[in-house]
Amino acid sequence: MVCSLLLILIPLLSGATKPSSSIVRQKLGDDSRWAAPDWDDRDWADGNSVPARTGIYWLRFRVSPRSVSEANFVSPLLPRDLSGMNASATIDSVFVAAPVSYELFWDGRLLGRSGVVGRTRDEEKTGPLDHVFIVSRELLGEGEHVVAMRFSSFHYNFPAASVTVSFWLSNYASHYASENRRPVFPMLGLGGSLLVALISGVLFGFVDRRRPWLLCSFISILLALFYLLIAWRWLYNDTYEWFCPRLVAITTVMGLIAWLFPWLLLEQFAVPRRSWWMVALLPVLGVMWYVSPVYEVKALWLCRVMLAVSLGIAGWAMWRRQTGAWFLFGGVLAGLVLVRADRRDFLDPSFFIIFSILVLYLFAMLGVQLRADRRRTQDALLTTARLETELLRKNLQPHFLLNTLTAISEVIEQDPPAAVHLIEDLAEEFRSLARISGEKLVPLTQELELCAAHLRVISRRLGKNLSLVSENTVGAFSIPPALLLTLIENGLLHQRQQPAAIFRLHISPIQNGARMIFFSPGESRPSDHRTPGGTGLKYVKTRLEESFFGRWKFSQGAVPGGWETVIELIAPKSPGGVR
Amino acid sequence: MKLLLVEDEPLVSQRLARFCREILGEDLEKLHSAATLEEAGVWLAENPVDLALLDLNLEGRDGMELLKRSVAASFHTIIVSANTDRALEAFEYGVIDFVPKPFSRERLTQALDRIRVPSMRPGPAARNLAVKKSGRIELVAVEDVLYVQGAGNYAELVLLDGRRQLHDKTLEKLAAILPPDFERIHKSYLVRMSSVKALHASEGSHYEAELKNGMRLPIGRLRYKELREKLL
Repeated sequence: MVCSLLLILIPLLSGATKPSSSIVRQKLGDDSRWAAPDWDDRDWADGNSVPARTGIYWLRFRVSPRSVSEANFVSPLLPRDLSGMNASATIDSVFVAAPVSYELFWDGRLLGRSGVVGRTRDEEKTGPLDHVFIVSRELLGEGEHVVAMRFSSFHYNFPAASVTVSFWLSNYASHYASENRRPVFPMLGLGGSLLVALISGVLFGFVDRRRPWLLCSFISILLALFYLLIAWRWLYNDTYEWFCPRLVAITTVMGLIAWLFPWLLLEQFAVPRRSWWMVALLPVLGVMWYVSPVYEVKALWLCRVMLAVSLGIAGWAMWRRQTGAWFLFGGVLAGLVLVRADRRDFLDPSFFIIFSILVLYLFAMLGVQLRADRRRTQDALLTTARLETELLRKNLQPHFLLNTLTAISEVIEQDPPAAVHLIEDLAEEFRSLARISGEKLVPLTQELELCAAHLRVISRRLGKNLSLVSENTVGAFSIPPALLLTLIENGLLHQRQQPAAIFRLHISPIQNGARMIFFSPGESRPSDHRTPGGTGLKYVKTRLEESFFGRWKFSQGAVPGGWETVIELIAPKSPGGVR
Repeated sequence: MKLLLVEDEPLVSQRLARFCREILGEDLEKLHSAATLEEAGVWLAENPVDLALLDLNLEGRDGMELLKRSVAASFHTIIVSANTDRALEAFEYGVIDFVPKPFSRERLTQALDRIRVPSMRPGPAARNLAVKKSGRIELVAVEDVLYVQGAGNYAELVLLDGRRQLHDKTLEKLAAILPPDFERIHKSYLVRMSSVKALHASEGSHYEAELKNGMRLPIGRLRYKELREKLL
């Protein structure tokens, strides 16, 4: 783009060009003599914009070019992008990009034709959109030459009422090389986009069902389609009636990208009220469609809206100090500044380079998030393994086991039948523990059995009568293993129970879940401080998080006669703990 | 012997009391069982004790603070605990023995014999001595102690830097837990032998030990010969 600007500016500053005073003249009708160079066309109308679908028209204009760069500024020829072309090369051809069927004459000699010019739609046969005609050496003498075109436009299917024909005087070799390079970038973009689309789709399908992956895949597919439609002009030179559908398709794809890309950013940065923003964006994009009848201008404004909205989202994410927001903000801003319409490439290629980088960056960000998720999963697995070990340690810890064995030693000598009961209770506790140790969630009934066995062992050891009474616990209900057991152990550790004491569990339903109120009897021990980060509480909270992923609440405090713990569990959408 | 049992589990406490009565027989003057620290404290405030049998994990709490308080007191301490991984640490604080749970009568007999038979020294010697200072318990490294001077029912630890610390234990009780390097040279002195530079005998059967820092301490007449042989 910079090169092309220089190539345009240098001749202008040096004054090397001498714009001709020649103008295009047009006339409705058909007469083979109008091709003659000396035909008097002074009574013809001016301009190369001609009413479409109305009959056969003739255009005439005069040129006296020497090189490509000079031809670039000869009116009525349209200035063209000379990047990659040899600007000093001699003129030896005429390049015509015209959505009409035509015959082209040079000083009265037929250079060639595209399709068949007709007086009616049925009579007309369409030809390729782009055409290069070689002008022979003998026709290219010094002085002024007359170019004439006979054409019809019955298959011109744009909504516009007039059709514009574009000519460029060119050097054939230079033009050929330039045209061959044009599809290279779109094809590279097509390949890259398809690859990203495929990887994102596979990741969404088989690895990580997060919406950004799906959006990234869709956007990449649309981007690939966009590149394909752009490259199509050079890959397959369609007849001119396909020009309009192709432009409609490109603009539609651009509109879809303009809607989906902000959505991807909204999802990526977890912006609140995403659906509201997405719905609000639709009418804005709709208005942009009608901002101009020219399709590349429509696409330009769709693109600008997309970038403006994306800039707002990236700015919001920057304000919230979200990872990668600054990069996206800079990229979107650069895109917004650089984007401009291009007659043949539709949008400036540099914009698509930036846009592709942004999509790739988002793709990379998603990859980084996926890696972080993998690590979290690994950590969660390790936590689960650690919790399982911790659960087993709870009742295999030396203090519990060896004190129990010491108590058994004494009971064996003093009261053998009582020793048998104590051993049976201990065995029951270990059996219960073995049943639940590998589970993330266990039925409440199993947990209650474990607690009862534990309290029987402790009661015999301490010479007390400790028990657990549960209320309103009918029905299937699952909780993390040893949750209540840990609360009982905490109660025994921090409180002094009377010789006969009852632990109480009450369960009541709440919206989408259940509330458990656990009462631990006994006065707190003197100078005892329950710490929120105590081993028991850590175990309880980690277990709750492991199974309920933030859908749980935990609170505790002293109440008359004891200590109360309240746990609220909210049922997950998929099958989970609270059933 | 006056015993205090500090154990929160009734069955274990009952077993300890039964065994102590059977082992000590008539030697047992008094035995009191306390289930809590507070209860033990109240008892100790009004009753002299020769030996405390202490559970390290009392009411689920870490017993090291309790251990420090116990070893700083005038009586001997035997730990009876399931936490065998703390045994070495307990010895370093100067306990007489560490009896792991579950325990037999024979093992408890062995522990009590360490008190009853002075020649039976405990295995590992104390590395630290706990002293009460301004209501707090502070640890004094045994390697910093130069000698110990008896002061009635107490003892005074004289440190290498010249500072003096009062300890609740008698000289006899400290001799039972300090390393073998400490010798009783006088009825009132317990000295680290590696810090003795020379022995002096003067007229009138007056003997003295000269320490490396130049200080001189009296030696008992009956102990002089034994010490001289050890040094030679």
